[in-house]
Amino acid sequence: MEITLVKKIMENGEECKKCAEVTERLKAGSELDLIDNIIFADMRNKDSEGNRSAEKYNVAVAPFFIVEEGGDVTIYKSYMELKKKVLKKTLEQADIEIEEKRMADEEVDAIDFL
Amino acid sequence: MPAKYDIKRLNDEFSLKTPQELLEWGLKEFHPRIALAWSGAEDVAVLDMMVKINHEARIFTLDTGRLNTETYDVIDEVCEKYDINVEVLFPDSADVEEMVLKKGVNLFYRSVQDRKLCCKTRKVKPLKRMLSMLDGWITGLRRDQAETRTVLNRIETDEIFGGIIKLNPLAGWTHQDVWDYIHENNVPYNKLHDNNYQSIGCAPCTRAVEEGEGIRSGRWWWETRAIKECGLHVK
Repeated sequence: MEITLVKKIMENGEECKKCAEVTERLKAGSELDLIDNIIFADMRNKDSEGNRSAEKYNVAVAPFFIVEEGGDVTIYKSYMELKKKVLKKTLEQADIEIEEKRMADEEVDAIDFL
Repeated sequence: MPAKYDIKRLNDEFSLKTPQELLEWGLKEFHPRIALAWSGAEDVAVLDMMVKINHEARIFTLDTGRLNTETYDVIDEVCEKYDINVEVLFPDSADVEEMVLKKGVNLFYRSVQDRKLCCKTRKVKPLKRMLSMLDGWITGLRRDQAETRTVLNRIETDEIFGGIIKLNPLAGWTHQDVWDYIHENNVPYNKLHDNNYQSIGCAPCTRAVEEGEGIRSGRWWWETRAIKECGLHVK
Protein backbone atom coordinates (compact mmCIF):
# COMPACT_ATOMS: atom_id res chain seq x y z
CA MET A 1 0.00 0.00 0.00
CA GLU A 2 1.22 3.47 -0.80
CA ILE A 3 -0.29 6.59 0.68
CA THR A 4 0.31 9.98 -0.89
CA LEU A 5 -0.72 13.23 0.77
CA VAL A 6 -1.44 16.08 -1.62
CA LYS A 7 -1.07 19.52 -0.06
CA LYS A 8 -1.78 22.91 -1.53
CA ILE A 9 0.67 25.79 -1.80
CA MET A 10 -1.12 29.09 -2.23
CA GLU A 11 -0.23 32.00 -4.52
CA ASN A 12 1.71 33.66 -1.69
CA GLY A 13 3.91 30.56 -1.29
CA GLU A 14 2.37 29.48 2.00
CA GLU A 15 0.86 26.13 2.71
CA CYS A 16 -2.93 26.21 3.00
CA LYS A 17 -4.20 26.38 6.56
CA LYS A 18 -6.17 23.14 6.33
CA CYS A 19 -3.14 21.27 4.92
CA ALA A 20 -0.96 22.47 7.80
CA GLU A 21 -3.64 21.46 10.29
CA VAL A 22 -3.93 17.93 8.85
CA THR A 23 -0.16 17.56 8.91
CA GLU A 24 -0.16 18.46 12.59
CA ARG A 25 -2.90 15.91 13.26
CA LEU A 26 -0.93 13.23 11.44
CA LYS A 27 2.12 14.11 13.54
CA ALA A 28 0.14 14.08 16.76
CA GLY A 29 -1.29 10.65 15.97
CA SER A 30 2.16 9.24 15.06
CA GLU A 31 0.69 8.64 11.61
CA LEU A 32 2.99 10.78 9.52
CA ASP A 33 5.39 7.84 9.12
CA LEU A 34 2.60 5.96 7.38
CA ILE A 35 2.45 8.57 4.62
CA ASP A 36 4.78 7.41 1.88
CA ASN A 37 4.84 10.58 -0.24
CA ILE A 38 3.89 14.20 0.17
CA ILE A 39 3.37 16.15 -3.04
CA PHE A 40 2.24 19.72 -3.63
CA ALA A 41 -0.45 21.32 -5.70
CA ASP A 42 1.31 24.63 -6.19
CA MET A 43 -1.04 27.40 -7.33
CA ARG A 44 1.93 29.17 -8.89
CA ASN A 45 2.71 26.19 -11.08
CA LYS A 46 -0.19 24.55 -12.88
CA ASP A 47 2.11 21.68 -13.89
CA SER A 48 3.12 20.79 -10.32
CA GLU A 49 2.76 17.14 -9.37
CA GLY A 50 -0.10 17.87 -6.97
CA ASN A 51 -2.03 19.81 -9.56
CA ARG A 52 -1.63 17.01 -12.08
CA SER A 53 -2.88 14.48 -9.51
CA ALA A 54 -5.85 16.69 -8.61
CA GLU A 55 -6.77 16.87 -12.26
CA LYS A 56 -6.21 13.17 -12.83
CA TYR A 57 -8.43 12.16 -9.94
CA ASN A 58 -10.86 15.03 -10.38
CA VAL A 59 -10.34 16.43 -6.89
CA ALA A 60 -11.04 20.09 -6.19
CA VAL A 61 -10.17 20.27 -2.48
CA ALA A 62 -6.96 20.09 -0.54
CA PRO A 63 -5.55 18.34 1.23
CA PHE A 64 -6.42 14.92 -0.11
CA PHE A 65 -4.94 11.46 0.02
CA ILE A 66 -4.23 8.98 -2.77
CA VAL A 67 -4.15 5.39 -1.51
CA GLU A 68 -2.84 2.82 -3.97
CA GLU A 69 -3.08 -0.87 -3.16
CA GLY A 70 -2.79 -3.81 -5.53
CA GLY A 71 -3.39 -1.62 -8.56
CA ASP A 72 -6.51 0.02 -7.09
CA VAL A 73 -6.58 3.70 -6.24
CA THR A 74 -8.86 5.24 -3.65
CA ILE A 75 -9.08 8.96 -3.00
CA TYR A 76 -9.77 10.22 0.52
CA LYS A 77 -10.73 13.86 0.82
CA SER A 78 -11.09 13.70 4.57
CA TYR A 79 -8.35 12.99 7.11
CA MET A 80 -10.88 11.38 9.45
CA GLU A 81 -12.07 9.03 6.74
CA LEU A 82 -8.49 8.05 5.92
CA LYS A 83 -7.76 7.53 9.61
CA LYS A 84 -10.82 5.34 10.10
CA LYS A 85 -10.50 3.28 6.92
CA VAL A 86 -6.74 3.06 6.38
CA LEU A 87 -4.41 4.40 9.08
CA LYS A 88 -6.06 2.70 12.02
CA LYS A 89 -5.90 -0.71 10.35
CA THR A 90 -2.33 -0.13 9.24
CA LEU A 91 -1.27 0.86 12.76
CA GLU A 92 -3.07 -2.12 14.27
CA GLN A 93 -1.43 -4.46 11.76
CA ALA A 94 1.96 -2.89 12.47
CA ASP A 95 1.41 -3.43 16.21
CA ILE A 96 0.45 -7.05 15.61
CA GLU A 97 3.54 -7.60 13.45
CA ILE A 98 5.81 -6.00 16.05
CA GLU A 99 4.32 -8.16 18.79
CA GLU A 100 4.62 -11.32 16.69
CA LYS A 101 8.25 -10.52 15.94
CA ARG A 102 8.95 -9.80 19.62
CA MET A 103 7.43 -13.13 20.63
CA ALA A 104 9.34 -15.02 17.93
CA ASP A 105 12.62 -13.39 19.01
CA GLU A 106 11.88 -14.20 22.62
CA GLU A 107 11.42 -17.88 21.76
CA VAL A 108 14.65 -18.02 19.79
CA ASP A 109 16.60 -16.23 22.52
CA ALA A 110 15.14 -18.46 25.18
CA ILE A 111 16.61 -21.61 23.66
CA ASP A 112 19.98 -20.27 22.63
CA PHE A 113 21.55 -23.01 24.73
CA LEU A 114 20.19 -25.75 22.47
CA MET B 1 -1.40 -26.75 35.10
CA PRO B 2 1.44 -25.16 37.14
CA ALA B 3 -1.13 -23.23 39.16
CA LYS B 4 -1.05 -25.99 41.76
CA TYR B 5 2.69 -25.42 42.24
CA ASP B 6 3.99 -22.67 44.47
CA ILE B 7 7.20 -22.01 42.57
CA LYS B 8 8.74 -19.77 45.20
CA ARG B 9 8.08 -22.28 47.94
CA LEU B 10 9.49 -25.11 45.81
CA ASN B 11 12.65 -23.12 45.08
CA ASP B 12 13.06 -22.48 48.81
CA GLU B 13 12.42 -26.12 49.58
CA PHE B 14 14.99 -27.34 47.04
CA SER B 15 17.54 -24.60 47.60
CA LEU B 16 19.90 -26.86 49.57
CA LYS B 17 19.09 -30.07 47.77
CA THR B 18 21.15 -31.74 45.08
CA PRO B 19 20.33 -31.72 41.36
CA GLN B 20 19.48 -35.41 41.70
CA GLU B 21 16.92 -34.68 44.43
CA LEU B 22 15.27 -32.07 42.22
CA LEU B 23 15.22 -34.50 39.29
CA GLU B 24 13.77 -37.23 41.50
CA TRP B 25 10.95 -34.89 42.44
CA GLY B 26 10.40 -33.80 38.84
CA LEU B 27 10.32 -37.32 37.48
CA LYS B 28 8.06 -38.55 40.27
CA GLU B 29 5.70 -35.66 39.74
CA PHE B 30 5.57 -35.47 35.94
CA HIS B 31 7.00 -38.55 34.21
CA PRO B 32 6.27 -39.38 31.37
CA ARG B 33 5.10 -35.84 30.66
CA ILE B 34 8.49 -34.34 31.42
CA ALA B 35 11.67 -34.61 29.36
CA LEU B 36 15.22 -33.36 29.25
CA ALA B 37 16.11 -31.11 26.32
CA TRP B 38 19.65 -32.33 25.77
CA SER B 39 21.84 -30.09 23.63
CA GLY B 40 24.46 -32.74 23.00
CA ALA B 41 26.91 -30.78 25.14
CA GLU B 42 27.92 -30.86 28.80
CA ASP B 43 24.28 -31.05 29.89
CA VAL B 44 24.91 -34.75 29.35
CA ALA B 45 25.57 -34.67 33.12
CA VAL B 46 21.84 -34.18 33.67
CA LEU B 47 21.11 -37.04 31.31
CA ASP B 48 23.36 -39.32 33.36
CA MET B 49 21.60 -38.30 36.58
CA MET B 50 18.15 -38.82 35.11
CA VAL B 51 18.82 -42.24 33.64
CA LYS B 52 20.22 -43.39 36.98
CA ILE B 53 17.06 -42.22 38.73
CA ASN B 54 14.63 -43.60 36.17
CA HIS B 55 15.88 -45.59 33.20
CA GLU B 56 12.68 -44.70 31.32
CA ALA B 57 13.16 -40.95 31.79
CA ARG B 58 12.54 -39.11 28.54
CA ILE B 59 15.37 -37.31 26.78
CA PHE B 60 15.06 -35.45 23.52
CA THR B 61 17.44 -33.54 21.33
CA LEU B 62 16.98 -31.30 18.31
CA ASP B 63 18.67 -32.44 15.12
CA THR B 64 18.75 -29.21 13.17
CA GLY B 65 20.43 -30.89 10.21
CA ARG B 66 23.50 -28.71 10.77
CA LEU B 67 25.09 -30.36 13.81
CA ASN B 68 28.74 -31.33 14.11
CA THR B 69 29.74 -34.95 13.55
CA GLU B 70 30.94 -35.07 17.14
CA THR B 71 27.43 -34.24 18.35
CA TYR B 72 25.94 -37.14 16.41
CA ASP B 73 28.70 -39.35 17.79
CA VAL B 74 27.90 -38.52 21.40
CA ILE B 75 24.17 -39.07 20.83
CA ASP B 76 25.01 -42.52 19.53
CA GLU B 77 27.48 -43.20 22.34
CA VAL B 78 24.99 -42.20 25.03
CA CYS B 79 22.23 -44.39 23.57
CA GLU B 80 24.58 -47.34 23.57
CA LYS B 81 26.12 -46.82 27.01
CA TYR B 82 22.83 -46.32 28.85
CA ASP B 83 20.76 -48.54 26.58
CA ILE B 84 18.22 -45.79 26.05
CA ASN B 85 16.46 -44.15 23.15
CA VAL B 86 17.01 -40.43 22.80
CA GLU B 87 14.05 -38.85 21.02
CA VAL B 88 15.61 -37.00 18.09
CA LEU B 89 13.39 -34.20 16.77
CA PHE B 90 13.69 -32.82 13.27
CA PRO B 91 12.50 -29.59 11.68
CA ASP B 92 9.67 -29.70 9.19
CA SER B 93 11.32 -30.43 5.85
CA ALA B 94 8.93 -28.15 3.92
CA ASP B 95 9.79 -25.25 6.28
CA VAL B 96 13.51 -25.78 5.78
CA GLU B 97 13.17 -26.10 2.01
CA GLU B 98 11.14 -22.91 1.76
CA MET B 99 13.59 -20.99 3.96
CA VAL B 100 16.66 -22.20 2.07
CA LEU B 101 15.05 -21.51 -1.29
CA LYS B 102 14.34 -17.92 -0.27
CA LYS B 103 17.41 -17.15 1.81
CA GLY B 104 20.14 -19.63 0.90
CA VAL B 105 21.83 -22.38 2.89
CA ASN B 106 24.01 -20.05 4.98
CA LEU B 107 21.42 -17.36 5.68
CA PHE B 108 22.46 -17.06 9.33
CA TYR B 109 25.62 -15.11 8.44
CA ARG B 110 23.65 -12.42 6.62
CA SER B 111 21.81 -10.79 9.50
CA VAL B 112 20.60 -11.40 13.04
CA GLN B 113 17.08 -11.55 11.63
CA ASP B 114 17.98 -14.34 9.21
CA ARG B 115 19.92 -16.20 11.89
CA LYS B 116 16.89 -16.07 14.13
CA LEU B 117 14.69 -17.27 11.29
CA CYS B 118 17.00 -20.26 10.92
CA CYS B 119 16.93 -20.95 14.68
CA LYS B 120 13.15 -20.64 14.64
CA THR B 121 12.74 -23.04 11.75
CA ARG B 122 15.28 -25.62 12.83
CA LYS B 123 14.93 -25.44 16.63
CA VAL B 124 12.01 -23.44 17.99
CA LYS B 125 9.29 -25.08 15.92
CA PRO B 126 10.27 -28.70 16.69
CA LEU B 127 10.81 -27.75 20.33
CA LYS B 128 7.38 -26.17 20.58
CA ARG B 129 5.85 -29.25 19.02
CA MET B 130 7.46 -31.39 21.71
CA LEU B 131 6.73 -29.04 24.62
CA SER B 132 3.08 -28.85 23.64
CA MET B 133 2.85 -32.51 24.63
CA LEU B 134 4.63 -32.09 27.97
CA ASP B 135 3.82 -30.67 31.40
CA GLY B 136 7.44 -29.93 32.15
CA TRP B 137 10.90 -29.83 30.66
CA ILE B 138 14.41 -30.05 32.05
CA THR B 139 17.48 -28.15 30.91
CA GLY B 140 21.17 -28.03 31.76
CA LEU B 141 21.14 -24.24 32.06
CA ARG B 142 23.49 -22.70 34.58
CA ARG B 143 23.79 -19.21 36.01
CA ASP B 144 27.47 -19.02 35.12
CA GLN B 145 26.84 -19.45 31.39
CA ALA B 146 26.06 -15.79 30.73
CA GLU B 147 25.75 -12.53 32.61
CA THR B 148 22.06 -12.49 31.87
CA ARG B 149 21.48 -15.85 33.50
CA THR B 150 22.44 -14.82 36.98
CA VAL B 151 18.83 -14.91 38.10
CA LEU B 152 18.10 -18.39 36.78
CA ASN B 153 15.98 -20.37 39.22
CA ARG B 154 16.07 -24.11 39.63
CA ILE B 155 12.31 -24.36 39.21
CA GLU B 156 10.37 -22.04 36.95
CA THR B 157 7.19 -21.83 34.99
CA ASP B 158 8.12 -21.28 31.40
CA GLU B 159 5.97 -18.39 30.30
CA ILE B 160 7.46 -18.38 26.83
CA PHE B 161 6.62 -21.99 26.12
CA GLY B 162 3.10 -22.46 27.35
CA GLY B 163 3.51 -22.02 31.09
CA ILE B 164 4.81 -25.52 31.70
CA ILE B 165 7.25 -26.35 34.49
CA LYS B 166 10.94 -25.89 33.70
CA LEU B 167 13.57 -27.49 35.87
CA ASN B 168 17.17 -26.27 35.78
CA PRO B 169 18.86 -28.68 38.19
CA LEU B 170 22.36 -27.36 37.43
CA ALA B 171 21.40 -23.70 37.86
CA GLY B 172 23.78 -23.24 40.78
CA TRP B 173 26.60 -25.40 39.46
CA THR B 174 29.75 -24.04 37.90
CA HIS B 175 31.48 -25.17 34.74
CA GLN B 176 33.99 -26.96 36.97
CA ASP B 177 31.24 -28.73 38.95
CA VAL B 178 29.81 -30.12 35.72
CA TRP B 179 33.14 -31.36 34.46
CA ASP B 180 34.04 -32.90 37.79
CA TYR B 181 30.76 -34.81 37.64
CA ILE B 182 31.35 -35.91 34.02
CA HIS B 183 34.84 -37.22 34.79
CA GLU B 184 33.97 -38.79 38.14
CA ASN B 185 31.03 -40.65 36.62
CA ASN B 186 32.72 -41.51 33.35
CA VAL B 187 29.93 -39.83 31.40
CA PRO B 188 30.34 -39.81 27.60
CA TYR B 189 30.80 -36.25 26.36
CA ASN B 190 30.96 -34.37 23.12
CA LYS B 191 34.57 -34.49 21.92
CA LEU B 192 34.31 -30.91 20.66
CA HIS B 193 34.80 -29.94 24.31
CA ASP B 194 38.36 -31.33 24.06
CA ASN B 195 38.98 -28.76 21.32
CA ASN B 196 37.93 -25.75 23.40
CA TYR B 197 34.28 -25.71 22.39
CA GLN B 198 32.56 -24.40 25.51
CA SER B 199 29.05 -24.17 24.15
CA ILE B 200 27.81 -26.36 21.36
CA GLY B 201 25.11 -25.56 18.86
CA CYS B 202 24.97 -25.97 15.09
CA ALA B 203 28.28 -26.46 13.28
CA PRO B 204 28.30 -23.21 11.28
CA CYS B 205 27.26 -21.17 14.33
CA THR B 206 29.70 -22.57 16.89
CA ARG B 207 33.46 -22.27 17.17
CA ALA B 208 36.16 -23.01 19.70
CA VAL B 209 36.97 -20.22 22.14
CA GLU B 210 40.31 -18.79 23.15
CA GLU B 211 41.54 -18.77 26.74
CA GLY B 212 39.88 -15.95 28.63
CA GLU B 213 36.90 -15.71 26.30
CA GLY B 214 33.46 -16.21 27.77
CA ILE B 215 31.65 -19.54 27.64
CA ARG B 216 29.17 -18.16 25.14
CA SER B 217 31.65 -16.35 22.94
CA GLY B 218 31.86 -19.25 20.51
CA ARG B 219 28.24 -18.88 19.49
CA TRP B 220 27.25 -16.47 16.67
CA TRP B 221 30.60 -14.78 17.17
CA TRP B 222 30.07 -12.58 14.13
CA GLU B 223 27.19 -10.83 15.88
CA THR B 224 27.91 -8.07 18.35
CA ARG B 225 27.93 -8.91 22.01
CA ALA B 226 24.99 -6.66 22.77
CA ILE B 227 22.79 -8.35 20.18
CA LYS B 228 23.81 -11.86 21.14
CA GLU B 229 22.89 -11.49 24.77
CA CYS B 230 19.74 -9.47 24.26
CA GLY B 231 16.83 -11.23 25.88
CA LEU B 232 18.60 -14.31 27.13
CA HIS B 233 16.53 -15.69 29.94
CA VAL B 234 16.11 -12.22 31.37
CA LYS B 235 13.58 -12.10 34.16
